[in-house]
Amino acid sequence: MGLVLAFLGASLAAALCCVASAKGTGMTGEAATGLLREDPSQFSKTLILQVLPGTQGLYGLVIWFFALLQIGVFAGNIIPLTLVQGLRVFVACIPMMLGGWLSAIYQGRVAAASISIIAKKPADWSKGIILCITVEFYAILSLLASFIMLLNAID
Amino acid sequence: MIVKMKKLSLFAMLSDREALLHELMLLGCVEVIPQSEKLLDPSLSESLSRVNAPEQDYRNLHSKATAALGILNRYAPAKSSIFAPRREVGAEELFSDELVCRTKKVILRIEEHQNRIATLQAEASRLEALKLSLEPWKSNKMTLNFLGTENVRVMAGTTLPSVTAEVLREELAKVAEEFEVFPINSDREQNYIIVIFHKAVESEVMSVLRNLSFSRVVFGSLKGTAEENIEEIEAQLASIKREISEETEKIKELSSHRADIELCIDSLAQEISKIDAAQKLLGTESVFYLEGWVTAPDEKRVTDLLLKYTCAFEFADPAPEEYPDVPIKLKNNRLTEPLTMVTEMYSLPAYEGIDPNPLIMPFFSVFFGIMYGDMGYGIVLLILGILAKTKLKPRGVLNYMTGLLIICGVTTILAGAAFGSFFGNAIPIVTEMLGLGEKDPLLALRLIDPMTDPLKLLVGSLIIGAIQIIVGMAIKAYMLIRDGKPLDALFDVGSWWLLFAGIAVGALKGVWWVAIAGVAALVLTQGRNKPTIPGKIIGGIASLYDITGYFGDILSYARLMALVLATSVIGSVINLLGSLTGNIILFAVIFIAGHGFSMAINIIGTYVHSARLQYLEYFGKFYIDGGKAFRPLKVDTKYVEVK
Repeated sequence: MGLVLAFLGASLAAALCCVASAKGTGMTGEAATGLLREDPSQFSKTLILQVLPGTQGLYGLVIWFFALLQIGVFAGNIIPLTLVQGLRVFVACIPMMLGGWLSAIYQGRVAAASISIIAKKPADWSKGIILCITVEFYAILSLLASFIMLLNAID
Repeated sequence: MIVKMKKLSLFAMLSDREALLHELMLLGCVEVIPQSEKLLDPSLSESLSRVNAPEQDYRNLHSKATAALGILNRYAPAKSSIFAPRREVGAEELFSDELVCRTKKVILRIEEHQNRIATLQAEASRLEALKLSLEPWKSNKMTLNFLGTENVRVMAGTTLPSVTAEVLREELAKVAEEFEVFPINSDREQNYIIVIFHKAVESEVMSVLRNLSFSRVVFGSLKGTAEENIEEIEAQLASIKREISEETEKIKELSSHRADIELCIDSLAQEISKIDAAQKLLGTESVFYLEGWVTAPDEKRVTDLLLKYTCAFEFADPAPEEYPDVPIKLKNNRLTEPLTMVTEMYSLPAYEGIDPNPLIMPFFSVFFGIMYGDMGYGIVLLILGILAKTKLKPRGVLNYMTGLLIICGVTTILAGAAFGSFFGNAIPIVTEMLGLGEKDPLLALRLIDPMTDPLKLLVGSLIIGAIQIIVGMAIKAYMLIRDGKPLDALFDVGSWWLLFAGIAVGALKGVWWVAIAGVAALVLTQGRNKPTIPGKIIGGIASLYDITGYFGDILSYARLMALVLATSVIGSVINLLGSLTGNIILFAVIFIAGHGFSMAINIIGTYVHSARLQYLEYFGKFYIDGGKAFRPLKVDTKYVEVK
C-alpha cells in the first residue's frame, strides 16, 4: 500500500507537469503559427518562447526520478514501504504536482501573449521572456520544496 | 566603460557634401542628429531648408537586388558551410559605380525571368482548371461547339445527383415526345447530361429542365471534341513546363553573378545610409549645417579630416540637460565585451550611469556555469565558441554570442568538475557497460554531490546571491560618492550593511546589539527626505519593510541549486535509458540524441535565468538605464568584409 501511494505521487508529479507543459507549449505554438504565416523569419524567436513553458515537464520528471530513486527502483531492490512512508513520499510530491501543473499553464499564457510582442516590436521580444521567467520561478520553488522533502521521506 | 561623447557642429559647403559624408562614413565615428525639428521655428525656416539629396533609385534597386538574390537562392542554393567567413573586399570595390551598373543588368534579367515564370505558372494553372472542367465530358463524341441543326437543339448541362438521366427522361416524356437524353458521366456532386430536342417543343422542355434545376454548360469558343481539347491542353502544359524549366536554367546560369549581387546589395546599402544622413542636414543654397555626436577619442581624427575642407566647426561637451539624448557606446576588453549582449537585452545604461559589463561578467558567467553545470556540456560550448570565433570572424551580436560561449564554456567545465558531472554520470555507466566495473576518475575533482548533498548546494547558492547583492549595494555607494553624496551612501547602504552584519553576528554568537543599531540607523535616516518630523519617523519605520525585499532577492538565488539538480537528473535519466538497452551502439544513439536535446533546452533556460538574476536582483540596486545605442554613419555590410 505504501508503495502504491509513493508511485501515485511520483506519477502524478510527472504526469500533471507534462500535461500542463504540453498545454503551455501548445498554446504558444498556436499563437506562433499565426505570426509565422505573416513573417516566417521570426521562427527562432517564437521557438524560444514556445519551449519556455516546457521546463515544468522536465522538473516533474526530476521529481519522478528522484522519488523512484529513493524507493530503490533503479538500484534493483524496491524498498517495501510502510503506509506512512508511502504517504510521506506522496505528500512530498504535492508541491511539484500543483506548482508545476498550474505554473506551466499560466506561463504558457504569458508566452502566447508575448508572441504579439514579436509581431509588433521584434526588438523588444526579450522582455516577453523575462515576463515568462517570472512565472517559472514558482515552478522552481515547487521543485525545491518537493526535492528537499523527498530527501528524508523514507528514513 | 561608457565612451565620452562630443557634440560636433559643422558648417560646410554644399558642393562638398557627398565627399565629406563619404569620408565621415569611412571614419565611422559620427552619428548625425536629425535637424528637422529646427524647421518648426519660423525664424529659421525662412532661411533654412532640408538638404536636397536625390535618391537616384537606390532604394528601389536595393529591394530588387535583395529579391533577385532571394530568387537565386531559391533556384540555385549557395553551397556554403555555416562556418564560412565573409568574403573580403577593398573599399574602392565596394563603392564602385561600375559594379552597380554591371550588376543592375543581371538583376533586371533575373527579375525578367522570374516574371516570365510567374506568367507561365498562372497560364498553367488556368489550363489545369480548364482541363479539369472538360474531363467529365471526355466520353461525349460530339464536338463541343455543336449546338444543333436547323430544327434540333443540343444542350449540355449538369444536374443534382438525384436527377439522373432516367428521371429526366420520365419527366420530359410527360410534356413532349421529340427529345433524347444521353447520360455522359456522373460523380458524387452531379450528373453530366446531354439533351437533344426538337425546336417545336423548346418551351415545354426548357420549363421541365428549369424545374429540375438542370444547369446549362457552355464551352465558349472551344472547338473539337472534349477529348481533342484535353489532348491539346496537355500538349500546351508540357510546353509550358518545358519553358519554365528553361527559364529556371537561365536563372541558374546567372548564379555565377551571386557574389556580384551580394556586393551590390552592400554597396547600395551604403549609398542609402549616406542619403539618410544627408536628409538629416539643414542647408541654404550653398552651405549645409551638420550636428552630430562624435566619440571623444576620435575627435582628433575627425578634426584632421574636416581641416581638408572649407568649413567651420566646433566640438562641445554635452550639457547635463542633454544627457538623455547622448547616445551610448560601451568600450570593453575582450573578456567583458560579450556581456554587451546581456546588457542590451535589458537596456543600455544612461550617459551619467555606469557600464555594467565588467560588473556582471563574473556573476553571469559563474551563474551560467553552475546552472549548466556539466563538464561535457562545457566542453561542447567551448569548442563551438572557439570554432565560430576563428572560422566565422563574427561581428555584432554573433560576436558577443561566441564570446559568451567561450567564457561560459570555461565556467561550465569548472562547475561540472566541482559537481563531478560529465554528461551526467556517463563515465561510470560506460565503464560498467564495457565490463570494467563502475569507475569514475572525476570523483577526485568532486567538491559536492548535488544528488546526495543538495542542502549544502542550496546554502552555497544563497551565499553567492548574498555576495552579489552586497556588491550591487557597494556599486550604488560608489556612485553616490562619485556624485558628491557621501552621506546618502552612508545612510542608504551603510545602515543596511550594519543590519546585515548584525543579523549574521546575532545568528552566530547570539549578540543582537549590532542588529539593533542597524535597525535604529534605518529608522533614523530613511525618512530624512520627508518634510515633517512624523513623516520622517514613519518613513524610517516603513523602510524596515524592505527587509522582505532583500529576503526575497536572496531566496531567488535558490534557482541556481534547482537548475543544477534539473540538469544532472535529466542527464542521469538519459544515461539510464541508454544503459537499459545493454548495447553500446544503441547507448551511443540515445546518448547523442538525449544530451543534444537536454543541452538545447537547458541552454535557453540557463541563459535567461542567469540574465534575470542580473536584471532584477543586481541591477535593481544601482543601475540607471535608458540610454540609446550609438549608431554612427559607418560602413555596415551584410555579405562582405571591408579590408
